[in-house]
Amino acid sequence: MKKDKFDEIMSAVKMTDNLPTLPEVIYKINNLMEDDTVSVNYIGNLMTKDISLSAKILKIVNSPFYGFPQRIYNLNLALVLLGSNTLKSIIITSSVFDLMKDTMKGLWEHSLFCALTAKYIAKQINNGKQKIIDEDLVFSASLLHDIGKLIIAIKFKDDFNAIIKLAAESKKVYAEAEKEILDISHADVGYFLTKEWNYPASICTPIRFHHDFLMLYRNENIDKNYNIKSITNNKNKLYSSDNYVIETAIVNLSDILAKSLGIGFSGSIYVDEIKNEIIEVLSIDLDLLKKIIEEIYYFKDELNVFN
Amino acid sequence: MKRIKIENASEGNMLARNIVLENGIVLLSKKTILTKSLINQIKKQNIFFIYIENNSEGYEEDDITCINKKIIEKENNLSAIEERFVLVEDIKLMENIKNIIKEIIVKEYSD
Repeated sequence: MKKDKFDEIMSAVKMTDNLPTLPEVIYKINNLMEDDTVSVNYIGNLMTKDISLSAKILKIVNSPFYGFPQRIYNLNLALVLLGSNTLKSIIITSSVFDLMKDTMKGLWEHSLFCALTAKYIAKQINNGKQKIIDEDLVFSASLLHDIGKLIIAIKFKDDFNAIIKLAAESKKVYAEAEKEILDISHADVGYFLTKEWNYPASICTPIRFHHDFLMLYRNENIDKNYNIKSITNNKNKLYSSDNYVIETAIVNLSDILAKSLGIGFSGSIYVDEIKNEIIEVLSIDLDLLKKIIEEIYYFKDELNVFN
Repeated sequence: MKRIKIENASEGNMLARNIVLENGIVLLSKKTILTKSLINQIKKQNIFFIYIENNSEGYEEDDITCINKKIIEKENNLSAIEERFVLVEDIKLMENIKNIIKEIIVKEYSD
């Protein structure tokens, strides 16, 4: 029996004092970084006010994943080296960090693995030639794609456990089991939450459609020729980034690859289908997919550097 | 007593400490002898390390058991993949992905 939880969950999202809100400093920095005229020093100074945030940023900057040759101790230097987009993704990372780890370790690992995978896929597609996709943006969107599950797990624990139980017992993917228990999806919850947090559409949209790629694809009436290959050939003329179809495709693909490799646990062990349209939009062939899987497999050994 | 990764746990190991879940429930108490299904239960709870007694059986110090254990681990990994892909069995792309992953696992264990 499906429970009418829509209003209840939505009011939980609206009541921000109930929620894992971003620390004040993060909120400020987030707004400041939208503004290109603000200096790095100013942001750096603001950040040093939040000691645990500064410590986390330095820890992540010094992790092998970013691979700087020397240890970096100076926060301002870290900001210059990383650039504002990477920094933003680190801030987002660190703000959901502890909460997610404490609530559901498997979900944290799944999310982090997806984020690393999404960034790697974007890198492969950009292929050093041109920057079609913002690698740090897809990192952030992937990291947060299941944030709605976190809310459901915290606020509606019984429902969340019921979904997991149903998925395990009747062999369903999480999203399918979720539909039977709740009338709102974790993707929608994640979307409304990140909107409340004033995150850009480039992050909110992929979160909303990470299980409904075709809905986005068809709604936007995407041209059959809209794919990475044609964008590259036409030197970006075709590319309008405001539908976030490519970003959503990457988040969706990363999610399914993480499940395929069985890394982390996001509510159900079962792997969902990768729609052909995703492969077409991203212009990925089987050889590239193989290369990607072989590479990301070893990210599992790097997950603990973020702990 | 020593701390081992759950991947390295094998049948016959004796728990040296209780395994307590986040909600306070004791999943398994100490002195329990592990079986394959218990190890799987532990893995399902997202527990990554356990404490076992030094004198329990089924040891990696012993080369032969170590090799056997690796084979069992590989087989477990491969059958876990089959299970994960059970809903997408008829889809060609997913079949390809499954095979790529299986190849990686087989390669990892052959090194």
